[in-house]
Amino acid sequence: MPSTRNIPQFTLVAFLMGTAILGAGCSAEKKQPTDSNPVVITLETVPGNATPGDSVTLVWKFDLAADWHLYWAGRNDTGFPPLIDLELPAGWVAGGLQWPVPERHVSAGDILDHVYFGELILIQKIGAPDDAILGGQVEIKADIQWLACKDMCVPGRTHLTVNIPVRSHADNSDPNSASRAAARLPVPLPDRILETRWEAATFHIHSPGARRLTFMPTDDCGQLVDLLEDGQAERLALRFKPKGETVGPVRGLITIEQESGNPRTYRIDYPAALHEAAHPGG
Amino acid sequence: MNRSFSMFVSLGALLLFATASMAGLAPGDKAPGFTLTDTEGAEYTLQTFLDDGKIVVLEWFNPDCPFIKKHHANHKTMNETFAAVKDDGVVWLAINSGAKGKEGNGLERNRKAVKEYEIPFPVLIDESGEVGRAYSAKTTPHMFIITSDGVVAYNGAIDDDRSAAKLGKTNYVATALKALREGKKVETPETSAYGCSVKYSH
Repeated sequence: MPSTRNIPQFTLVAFLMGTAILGAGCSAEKKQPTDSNPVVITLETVPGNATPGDSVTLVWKFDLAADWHLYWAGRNDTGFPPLIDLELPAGWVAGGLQWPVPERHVSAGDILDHVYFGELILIQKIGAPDDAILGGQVEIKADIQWLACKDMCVPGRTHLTVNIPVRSHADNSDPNSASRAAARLPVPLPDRILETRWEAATFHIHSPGARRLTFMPTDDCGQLVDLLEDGQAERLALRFKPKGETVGPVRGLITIEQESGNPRTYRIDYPAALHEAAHPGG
Repeated sequence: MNRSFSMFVSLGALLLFATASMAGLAPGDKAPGFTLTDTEGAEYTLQTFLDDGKIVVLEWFNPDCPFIKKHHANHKTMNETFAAVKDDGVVWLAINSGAKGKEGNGLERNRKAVKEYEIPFPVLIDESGEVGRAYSAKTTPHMFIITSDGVVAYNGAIDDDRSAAKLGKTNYVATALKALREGKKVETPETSAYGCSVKYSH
């Protein structure tokens, strides 16, 4: 019989579409996604218990049936990203979802989305108050919505109630999925990797030695003229639609592919520029 | 209980700029002309309506898309928006640009949908996707409003909630139609359409 010492209990309250199952290491038999039920959601916590004044990480894992995809929480032509709405007890605080690097996906009709195939793992910090009661449990309710698409789209929604034990010391559990999720997150942009400049309403990006750059804008990026045309090239020339007297900002992810080595994806954030003051080469 | 929205993407707030590529028809552009046949074999030509001084609403349609179901089955957004203006010089045309064999394609499926959803306007079949591509229609639904002088007055979403379930607080099409009928400027002429992808052949 598997140990449940470090395993919080998860209670499935209801589900409409898709399947939500118990967390890591539990004895629950894991279901596999299929075309008729393309998303299976698993929730794990790291560590397996909460500690007063410290944080616990929720690891949301969406397993997808073959060829189905979920959407990134950035700019897309279609669909919407998974939504997780939490209800927490007073004093407990939820951080934002941390999104891994998506794939640029172009489908028939020049439709551009940024998506995940296979699996999507989202991580989220939950802060426990200093006065969380030792020996008790914290109940967290989650309302999860998603849209999975292949050659059709299927919306899903499920409600989960999670009970996490509160103990004086955190266990050392580290589910594999949490490590995988962390490895897929975009990282801050190091100095001197990119050469950038505004030329009127066009933002030029070059990375010496790169064979291909891919830009994936977040929703707070300035409005682009044509991301499909401009968003992937050896050197990027991103055309922006001016808004008043400014263009930009340039916010999102950039993937740099070198001739050798694995692609690396970085977060970029360049402020809006004065359109009228932007000079070629400036 | 505290209700935490920090991880809940505010779909409505992001709608105006959420589309990946805004290339395509911009407000003020000339609307591409077309002639298409509806589920009952009747032919419809855009220019005919414009010559009659009509305002034309185009709705990209796929009866099996969850977002179309949201606005045609779970709610009656399209029917109600049309009902409010149909006697006031507004024509509403749904267009299905799904290719043969794709989800929601086929005369029978669309004929059935007209009855099932009690659609009071024609559903035109654009199986080649030619008209959809001319408009750069990306989603179902994707809405366009064309003034009687043949100019695009609105391009984008029906409302400001991108989910497959909830209605938005603002119906952009109803708002734009009201402004046009009152001879006023459309304050929000372009938003990001949302929904399923149009099921083009290539």
